[in-house]
Amino acid sequence: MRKIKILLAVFVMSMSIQLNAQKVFATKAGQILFNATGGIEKIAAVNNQVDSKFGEATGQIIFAVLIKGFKFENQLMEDHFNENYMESSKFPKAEFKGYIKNIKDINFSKDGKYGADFEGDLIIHGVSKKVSTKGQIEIAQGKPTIVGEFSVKLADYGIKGSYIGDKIAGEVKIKVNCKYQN
Amino acid sequence: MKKAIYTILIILLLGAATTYYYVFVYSKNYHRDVQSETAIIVSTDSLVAAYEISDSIANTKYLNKALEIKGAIAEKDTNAVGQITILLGDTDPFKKRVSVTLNSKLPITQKIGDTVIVKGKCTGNLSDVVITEATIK
Repeated sequence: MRKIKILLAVFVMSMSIQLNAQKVFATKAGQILFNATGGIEKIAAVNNQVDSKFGEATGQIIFAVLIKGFKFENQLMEDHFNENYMESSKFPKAEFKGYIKNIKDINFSKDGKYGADFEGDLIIHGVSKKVSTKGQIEIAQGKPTIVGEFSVKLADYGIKGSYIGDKIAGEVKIKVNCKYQN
Repeated sequence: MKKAIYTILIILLLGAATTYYYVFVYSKNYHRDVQSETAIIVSTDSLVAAYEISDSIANTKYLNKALEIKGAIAEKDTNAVGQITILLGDTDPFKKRVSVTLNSKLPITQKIGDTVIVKGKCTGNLSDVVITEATIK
């Protein structure tokens, strides 16, 4: 009887571990581009070191990016972006923490393109805001790539500067492209 | 009177020339060259340990500075634009490491496990300490 109890306990424990275990997709080399062009001069930058992870079962997802990692074509623009607008020594990173709401609709074992609904907290310049946006998850040979595009109002995140609304757009377009490994 | 007008004209011309140079020449050609800067020499273990203790203290020492880091290659890959990326440090993916993006898109000859010295700019700490604009010395 005691042996049966032990076997049962081991079986329940192993089932519990299996249920809790979930595949986590991750990348440290995702890409975020932003475009804040408000006038004639192009104001755009790219960061190719986006750190992101998400769970296949829960849909929990995080994107994190270092502000000093954004590369501009114009060095002076990059310096102003860091020092005068983003204050990147004080607020070194931006993050999104949330969920892929319709994760159950995505078949990770079947190649294809799936619509994805994201919802969570976007933290920029030390200010956190609830956001929701739509994107796409492409599955190719079991590996997902997330692509998406959304806009952010600089005023919502306390980002101020004399050129915002003029040479710098008040609403910045952001593109995300992250290819994950498992 | 004529002298005063000439003086004002010269000042205006100098101002216009300075503005033109700053906006159209200097700002277009000025680029930070991390590789020509004097670097702080640090090991992978020391850099990782500094960021594990405190982001803010480590940032005052390393953020936006040129660093020369010695460590073993744990992983190598390419990013979305074809640049070579390497991870220096422990082979355990759950441990904090140093994530380096090289300027070059050319494959590197060094293998996983080889010890290298990389020079690049520290942009801060995420799940790993991040180094950009790097080269292998």
